[in-house]
Amino acid sequence: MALRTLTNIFHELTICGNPQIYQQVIRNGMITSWFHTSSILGGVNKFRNPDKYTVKPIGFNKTGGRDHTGRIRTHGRGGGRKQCYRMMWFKRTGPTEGAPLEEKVIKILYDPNRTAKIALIAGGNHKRYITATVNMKPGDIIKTSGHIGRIAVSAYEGDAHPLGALPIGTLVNSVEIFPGHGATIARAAGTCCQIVRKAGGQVIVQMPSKQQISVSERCMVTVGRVSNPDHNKLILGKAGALRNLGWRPQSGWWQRKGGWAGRKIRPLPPIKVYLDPKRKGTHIDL
Amino acid sequence: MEAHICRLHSLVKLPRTVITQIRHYKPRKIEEIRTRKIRNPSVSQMNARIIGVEEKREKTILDEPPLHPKNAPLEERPNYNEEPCYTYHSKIRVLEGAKQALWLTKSKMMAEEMPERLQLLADIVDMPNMEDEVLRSVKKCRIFDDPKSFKIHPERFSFTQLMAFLHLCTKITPQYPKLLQRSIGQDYHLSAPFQRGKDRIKIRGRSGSIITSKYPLLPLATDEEIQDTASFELESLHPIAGTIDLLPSNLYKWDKNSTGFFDGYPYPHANLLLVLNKNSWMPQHLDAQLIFYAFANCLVRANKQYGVHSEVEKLDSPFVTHAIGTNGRRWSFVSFQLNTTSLSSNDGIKNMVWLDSNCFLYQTITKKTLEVDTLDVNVFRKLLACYVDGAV
Repeated sequence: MALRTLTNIFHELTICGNPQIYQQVIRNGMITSWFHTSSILGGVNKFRNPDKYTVKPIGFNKTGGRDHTGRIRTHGRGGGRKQCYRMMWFKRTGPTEGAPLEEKVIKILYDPNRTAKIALIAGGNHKRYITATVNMKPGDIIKTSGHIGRIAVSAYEGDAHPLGALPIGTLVNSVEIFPGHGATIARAAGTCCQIVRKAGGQVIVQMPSKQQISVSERCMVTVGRVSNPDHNKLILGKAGALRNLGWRPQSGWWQRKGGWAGRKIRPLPPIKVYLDPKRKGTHIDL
Repeated sequence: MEAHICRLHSLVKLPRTVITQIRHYKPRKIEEIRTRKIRNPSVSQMNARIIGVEEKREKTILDEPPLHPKNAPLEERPNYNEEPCYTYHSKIRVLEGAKQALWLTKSKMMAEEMPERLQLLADIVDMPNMEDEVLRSVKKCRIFDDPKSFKIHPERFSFTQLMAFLHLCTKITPQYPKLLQRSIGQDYHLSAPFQRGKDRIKIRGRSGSIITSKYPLLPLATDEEIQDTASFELESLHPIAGTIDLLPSNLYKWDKNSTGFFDGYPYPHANLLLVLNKNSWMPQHLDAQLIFYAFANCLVRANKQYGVHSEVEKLDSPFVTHAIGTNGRRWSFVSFQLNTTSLSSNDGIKNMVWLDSNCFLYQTITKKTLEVDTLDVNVFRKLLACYVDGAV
């Protein structure tokens, strides 16, 4: 038994994710041999990390809520309409000096993989998908810049700036936790964050859950709310509509309510601090 | 239990009684086979024993044959160039449509109609029972072509409609005998290189069929109109680059300039291009394709006369071609005039484009009652004018 447990431990150690890939991406900025358009999609599925970026929708098989090990990770998934994956570009890094990068909005499209709508933008010889904001429409020209000036920028909706460049009180979406890591917060339909205050190279942001985080001022954000704000008012109409989206019916077994039920008044948790991973000293990892 | 014993057997000597219980374990037989091999060796083993050398097989490494250029690395291939070239071919749908095509060919949109000469021709040229014959050809292609099937695909009726109209056009040849000195070439291959700004661009591929003749078309605009285009400013595509959606590649022949026909071909001058919209593209994409290929046909012939990459500011005799694109129902007409081949700068004399798109031959067809709704014969008149031009 002892031998078996030892071998199991070794097996897990060898299979666990390669941390060097993440380091490469952070070090070199946007594109490496293994380029990533978002931080969340690690090395899980191969189809989501091909060598080349495409705007073409890519087909994929349904997981049924199963993990790569074959165990159930999320309950109640299965069936549904066939879907295609669109490669979203969550890393909107811009030039730190000179004129900002300008791009034109071509289309605003439906995406089955997320609640928000997506926008196809083009600039130069390149096309890419980003999350659309509320008032974005085809023909608009949006800017991205990484410059942090002494005076705060009066930004338009859809523009991307670092958090330090924007004035206090602006509503932003698709916020990064670490600079160059890809947007992770406020990407769902109708959500937005608010800039609360700035202190010592860190900016404190209120998330949609009213919890506050402090992140580096170099973290990129886009200005405005995410599109499709009436998503929560959607009426499905029938049980089969949810099945089409890939959700199985809930258990009919009656369960007594536990301690989770009822109204409670709790103080908000303290501010979470995400320091720059390049900086020396103690810092919190994800 | 058995497997557990098997594993232990190699370490511990078990009593004979236990071994007999194990399935498929026959130590005697294994020993027999081993001894038999030693008793009856193979020929090569015998030879090795006689010489007194242990047998060893060594792989003979032959000299590897040189790789085919297709399989060789990119940089070692014969047609490799360091600077990439953006290619346009007949399967590419450009993002900005006709606007992008105008910028890349450095041309000015003169009017969203046909040129005056063709409008006059459309009024003059006439044939007996035109409306009846056009209606008959439409019914033939949409209804009677395949009465068994409920719906005929545009891939079929776009081709049959065009061929039926060309067949109608040939009825005018007694009036205009110059039409006899023509030929139709199908699936001709074209390649026209040119430099636009800093980028290398190439238009190539098979667009469709082409009508060529012995005589070139006369210019559509006067010299004064050509000089006036120098003051015209091209519409920029900022922030999008003009070469978006074109295919960049490092493998190409930069000096290759071919019309698709051999030298000394008796009908060298391009008059009319015929492009089919089989896959039901949007009209903007079809218009762009018509402009690109009409331009390329002119440029190839200019390059033959003046030399490849010879940037002539003003051509002595401008080159003209017409182009027609169709879905069977929706028609678009383009006429192109090449005034310059110096495309690297945005200044100077520009080329000219007349575009007449979204001309509907009819609106709807009901198969049961054999009715064609709102037939427009003017579309056929336009085609006839393009066909006759150059032979009048």
